[in-house]
Amino acid sequence: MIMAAIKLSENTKKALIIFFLIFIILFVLIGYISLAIEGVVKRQGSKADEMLSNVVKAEIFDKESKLIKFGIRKNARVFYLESRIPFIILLISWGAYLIFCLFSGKWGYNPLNKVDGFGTLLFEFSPWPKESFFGLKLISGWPSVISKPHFEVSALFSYFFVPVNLVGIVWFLLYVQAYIARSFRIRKIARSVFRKKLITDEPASLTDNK
Amino acid sequence: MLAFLKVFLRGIVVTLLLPIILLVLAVYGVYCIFLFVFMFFKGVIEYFQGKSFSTDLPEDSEARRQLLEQELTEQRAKEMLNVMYQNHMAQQQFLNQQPQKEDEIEYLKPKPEPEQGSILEPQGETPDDNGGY
Repeated sequence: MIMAAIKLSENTKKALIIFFLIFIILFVLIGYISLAIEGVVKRQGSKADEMLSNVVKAEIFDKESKLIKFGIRKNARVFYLESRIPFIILLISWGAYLIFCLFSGKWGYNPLNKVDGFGTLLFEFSPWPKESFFGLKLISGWPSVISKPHFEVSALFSYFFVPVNLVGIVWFLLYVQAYIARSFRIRKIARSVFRKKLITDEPASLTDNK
Repeated sequence: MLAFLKVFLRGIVVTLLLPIILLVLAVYGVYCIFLFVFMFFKGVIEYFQGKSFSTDLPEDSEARRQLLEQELTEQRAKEMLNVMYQNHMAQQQFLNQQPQKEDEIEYLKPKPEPEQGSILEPQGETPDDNGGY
């Protein structure tokens, strides 16, 4: 009844269809990206199998908690050895930032600012223009460009600092993700190893009782 | 179509959970910075203790030793079995090379015992009951 009362024009229908298509494509894309990330996480987690294979085969530990503790200790070492390079990159970039601040005297310098920072390489737009229409403020046009990307000599430091820092952070976060993946995998392996043992022991004890 | 729908629903769930995922990543990121600093100092201490900082822990070397021992024991057992098998086969081969029927086998028989006094008696004449010739 309500649907029948709402009459949509052809243009509105087209707009709605396009909107729904974009909506679906966007979520499907996010779904596929998450699947890809899951694959990467699984691959990263498989390193935990290599880490624990010897001690599990040799049956060094008799308790699940001991195996988990061992895994955590080893995982921390692997993480430290892996993430040294991005950490050094970050350390160098922040050291350079401190030296820059020391020599320029600009303490609290924001490397992303739009005057003498990385922001000079980005577009800057004005707010959306709005006009009142029957008491409602509606968007009436496209925002204008305030600033186009341009080179600033005073922002030279930020042109090096921001990309290097970004690379270091992303690289470090990838190893953090790998660390998390291995942590989960270690717990899963420990649980499966000791649960399996319990199941294999069960029939033997039952037959012994008979 | 079902797979497509699954991916679509997954996309919605991931979008809804994205703030939590990012929060967990950020918390772990901060934790990992502290962990890195801690491991760095641990590495320095181990270096001055004359140890090399690696992913190998004492439990790993113990596990490797046990596995090696196990492997050696298995290898020895295999070798032993192999030797026993070869001996058995050689024995079988030796027995198979001389097939003999039961009636063809010449068993060693004891020599017939000589009659009493036959050696002492002269060969030509034999004494009669009365002792005369």
